[in-house]
Amino acid sequence: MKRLLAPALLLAALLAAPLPAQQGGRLVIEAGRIVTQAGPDIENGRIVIDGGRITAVGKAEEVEKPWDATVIGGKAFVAFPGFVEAHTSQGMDRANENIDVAPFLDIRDSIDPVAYFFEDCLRQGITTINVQQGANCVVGGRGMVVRPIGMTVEEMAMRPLFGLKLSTRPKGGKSRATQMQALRFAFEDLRLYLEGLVEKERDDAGYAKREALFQGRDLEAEAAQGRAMGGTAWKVDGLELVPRGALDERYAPLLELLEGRYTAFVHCGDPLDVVHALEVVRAQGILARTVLVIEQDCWKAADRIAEAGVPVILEGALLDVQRDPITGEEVETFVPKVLQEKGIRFALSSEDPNTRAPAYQAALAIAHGMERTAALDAVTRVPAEILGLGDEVGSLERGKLGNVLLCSGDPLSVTTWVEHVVIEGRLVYERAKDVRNKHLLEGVQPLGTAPPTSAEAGEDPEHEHEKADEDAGAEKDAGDEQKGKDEDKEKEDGGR
Amino acid sequence: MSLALFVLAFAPGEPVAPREGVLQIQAAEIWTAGGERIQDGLLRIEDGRVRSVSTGKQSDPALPLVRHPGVVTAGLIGLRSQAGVGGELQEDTRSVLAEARAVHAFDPAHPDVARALAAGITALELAPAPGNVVGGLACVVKTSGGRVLTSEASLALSLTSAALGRSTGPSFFVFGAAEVPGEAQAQPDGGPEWSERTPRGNREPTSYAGALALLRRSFAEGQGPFARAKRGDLAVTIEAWDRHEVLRAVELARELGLAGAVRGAPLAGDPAVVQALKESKLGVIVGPYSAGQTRASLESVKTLAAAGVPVAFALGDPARSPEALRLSAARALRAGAPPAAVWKALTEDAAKLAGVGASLGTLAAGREADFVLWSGDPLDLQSRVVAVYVDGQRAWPAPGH
Amino acid sequence: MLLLIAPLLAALPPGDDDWTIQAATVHTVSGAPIENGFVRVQGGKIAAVGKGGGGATLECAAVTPGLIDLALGIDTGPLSVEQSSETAARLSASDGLDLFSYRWERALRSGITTALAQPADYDVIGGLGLVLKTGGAPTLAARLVKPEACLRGAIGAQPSNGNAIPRFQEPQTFYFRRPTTRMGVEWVFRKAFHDTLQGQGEDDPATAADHAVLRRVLAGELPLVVQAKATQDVRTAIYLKEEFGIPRLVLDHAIEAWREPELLKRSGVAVILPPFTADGRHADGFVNDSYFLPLDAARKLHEWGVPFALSAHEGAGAGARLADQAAAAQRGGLPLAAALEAVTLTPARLLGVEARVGSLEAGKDADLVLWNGPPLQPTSRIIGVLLQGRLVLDPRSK
Repeated sequence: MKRLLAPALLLAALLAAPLPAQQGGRLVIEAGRIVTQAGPDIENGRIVIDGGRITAVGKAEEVEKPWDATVIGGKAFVAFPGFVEAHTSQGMDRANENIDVAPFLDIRDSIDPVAYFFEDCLRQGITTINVQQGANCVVGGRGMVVRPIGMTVEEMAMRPLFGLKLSTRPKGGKSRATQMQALRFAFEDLRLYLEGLVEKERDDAGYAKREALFQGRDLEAEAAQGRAMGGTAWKVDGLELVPRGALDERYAPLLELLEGRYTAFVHCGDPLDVVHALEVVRAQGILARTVLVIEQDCWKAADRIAEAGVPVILEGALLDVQRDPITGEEVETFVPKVLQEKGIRFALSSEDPNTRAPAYQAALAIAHGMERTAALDAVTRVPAEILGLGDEVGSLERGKLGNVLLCSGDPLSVTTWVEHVVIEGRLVYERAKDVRNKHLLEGVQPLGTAPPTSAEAGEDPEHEHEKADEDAGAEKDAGDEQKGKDEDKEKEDGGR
Repeated sequence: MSLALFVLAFAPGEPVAPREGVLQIQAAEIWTAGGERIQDGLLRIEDGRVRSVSTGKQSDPALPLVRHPGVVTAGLIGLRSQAGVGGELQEDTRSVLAEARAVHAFDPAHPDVARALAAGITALELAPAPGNVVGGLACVVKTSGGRVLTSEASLALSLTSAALGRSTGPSFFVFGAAEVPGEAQAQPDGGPEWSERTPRGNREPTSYAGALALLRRSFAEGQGPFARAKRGDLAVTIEAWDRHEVLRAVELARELGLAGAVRGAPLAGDPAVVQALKESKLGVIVGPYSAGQTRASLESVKTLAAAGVPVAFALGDPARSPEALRLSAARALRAGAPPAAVWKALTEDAAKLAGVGASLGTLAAGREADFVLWSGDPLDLQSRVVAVYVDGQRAWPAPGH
Repeated sequence: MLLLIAPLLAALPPGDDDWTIQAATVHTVSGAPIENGFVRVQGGKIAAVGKGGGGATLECAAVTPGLIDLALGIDTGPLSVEQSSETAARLSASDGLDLFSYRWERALRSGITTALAQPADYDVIGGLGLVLKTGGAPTLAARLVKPEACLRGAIGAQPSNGNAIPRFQEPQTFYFRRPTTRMGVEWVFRKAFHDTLQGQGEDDPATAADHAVLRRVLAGELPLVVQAKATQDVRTAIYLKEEFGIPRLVLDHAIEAWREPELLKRSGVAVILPPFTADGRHADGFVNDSYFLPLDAARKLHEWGVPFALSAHEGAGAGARLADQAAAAQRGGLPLAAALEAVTLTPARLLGVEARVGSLEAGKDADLVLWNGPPLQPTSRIIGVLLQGRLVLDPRSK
């Protein structure tokens, strides 16, 4: 743990030190070009951020510079809205829970503010991140939208208790049939539970009323709450008799999902999973609040996705390379192009390590024939809209959050670097002071700044625990075994 | 004597003077060499050999006669059979075993042999398994009577991954030998070919280059079967599965002047492979074809036949599927191979590729009298075997039954 | 949207192999880029390269020479190298090739038209490598550019992997006899060269054949391409070069060559860099260690004057191909011209095939890559490939 914390603290100290304008202060960003993603680019532009929000964007001569504002940037820079990561399972303690149906879990308890992932997000210019439980589940916990800054989860949080993870891809050890059975049963179980509650309420008729009177509570208000319970697809008769507070917290989140409180992020590993996912969300009446998180293979189900009108987040590789089992020939499909042609709203995600940087993904989309604006939208505006943050982030417009990148050139050029990152008016990253970047780029490794191992990066936290506790013999062995597996994986990933 | 009784019973109206080893078969159709079909033919057998095949009904009333309303053909030949050898065709101790003889594993009384007989197969080729670079000498045996036609039919070579990096003993005694490739990794269905095989056995060679070097050295030293194969006195069969293995086998045969066949080669129909085979003196032993065989694989018989490359079908394990030969043939037919070529593959070319083309494979004067009485066209799977004769004697159904 | 490269062999009817390719920029590599230039292709060769030009049969944003990868890794794995002895210099990778593998077409599709095929690194000295075209009829004769182009060796953990000293038992396998450490690997290397110089053990024809190959290496006829991932492997390889006077040494997979600038400059070695990774790290895969490759490694080598080639190690996905490595190297500060050279002319020179491939010059093979934008940029993609004048990836097809 020490090894992990030292560099993180170092970096935090570096980043925290130069904050010129704390939240509430005023910041002016000047750039040779502003790519607003909300209209034409602005040459020689100026952005004013006040109280964390953009108050003005425009040509330098047309936007007044507040006298007390700190000014950063200059003509050499290109300003760009911070990238939005629509879905990730990184930056947390173990991403997967072994309980099949666990909607009562809250990702808040797992997010690790000092994870390497969040640090790397700043380096790539990602300023808004939707963290959700891993895909190895049936019904997962509730996620959270965060900004990659802060030493506590509360500081990071933008939207706590946001989204609920589901998966139609068979969980490890499950067949497709048992996965679907478990998923359907999760909702059936909820119904049985609610019916049981109603029955109990009827048997004990008057008890709740007496109890409420005794406690001096407003029974009518509680009853009204109860009557509001239930989704659109199915109802439990008599549920209005049950006070909301009587719901077990293990079941409550799933009911809230049906009531539309959460966006359902449904993971699909292959085209058949898409079909199943749509079937389930239709049956539960939550299609309108569903986002499919798809692997590259799922493009084959593009017609079904388009028909359902749900947005998707492409979590797999952008280029789907498959071998025909009969002819042995390889067929390549550039997935975003298919999604675009079918009229599907999609966001790109940074899960594929080869193409992690959002700017790089947008560049690849352009290489394969997408319009520049559409490609950049897939890493800014569209994910913002999918997260319901369309009014907050994703473009540089008056009233939105002051999340701005200052790049050394065109954000899509391979030689461009993110030089400064501003989140809600605070300068939170400067490349010139990023010692780890210097290491990645030049190999110069200041003491204590080695990139974390995969374990430290949060992929294998078990191993991390074990390191902290050298005496736990049995646990140590288990950790070593896990480490071996990771190395195997790296070997596979790293090629020959 | 029992034979005479049978004939009498079969053709009671004929005046008969029974004589040992002499027999006439009158049939609606007799298939002879070169795909010729004689309507209302007469087949004369004498001392276990074919004396003549002719048209007409001029049977000799002095000799026993069998009238058959169906088709009479030469017996089928099952190549690469594992009948009656008890799985003892793989000797793991050495990579080069030129003098190992498959005949010593042959049990003529094994029920698998009888099963093959009942399926119309009159001769089997038993060959060392492809786990050795030089496996040894294949033999050809009859399915009835236990006669060994030749114990030196051909020299079995292998250029597949199965022969590379094997272990000399049980793998748990050998460090790092856990992943020894077995025959299971043969991919006869022509699916994806190149797979990550990781031979970790302790036996040289471990690589294609090493196997070629070993073979070149063996042939250069030129002892025993190697010298005979080089002179052209002994055919070779080279096990090769993937297309690149087939090309390597062809190249080796060209370099050393070897004749014989490539065995395996599910994708032998690939244009580059066909071209190379055509230029070589090699035939191809394909199959047995399974139900899941890919079209590309099944079509190779058609392609090879069109290019004039001799083709034959492997039988495999007759215990599992004694009908494998005719099933393979039917699958090749359905994939477009001409019936004449498929029939040739079952008999004439099979005999040729097994190194016994001079004595088996067709019904022609002087050839051994191994033949089958079919209820109809033997390429039609609805036709059944009525009787099988080996060396001029009725072998199935067993006399007396 | 779909890109099917299946009918590569029969792409076009014969006689249709003459082309005039017009491009906004022609990157000749051997000379300055030509704006609004053309390349004329006749009979499988480049007939002319110049400015302007009319009657284009193909048009694109940029044209470059076909790419060359010296570490493509298309081999038959462990079956490509004879492991029953530590040194097998006499054996050739040509005996273990699978020219039917779909992976050749994958390479071709990603713009690689020429590649070095070598034995896999399970021996200390694995055998001879050869230079091949990545397409054409699947026969050696049709694809060969140069037989016996180099000798392949490996320093580091890989050739000792899986070997062990027997305990309480007789050595049963040759894996027991082989080196188990980096020290042992180096010893086998030195012994091979030492015995060659002394002529020792040449009664055995195999050893004599091995030594004949090593003598060609020592005479500078054959380059020695050695896998040397870690710093210590790079140093060992250079020490061996200097001790035995090996004229042409190429360090392959040299992740940490950048850590030894003085040795690289002094010894005159060339380097093949592995793919860049997101976090700079490369796990060894055979021992519990990982090595670091900074993004600017190529820029460093370039500035030091060390000849270097980039390689993709058969990366298949978007962002993992050879062109993507050249893009990554530019992110590390390498100029475009140098990045292009590192995937074309430099690898050709390292193996002595620059007379045929590596640049756009009249008389060379018509191996061309057509781009829909500036080459080696993530916003551009390879839309066409010509291999010896044959259009194997058609830019006109959608």
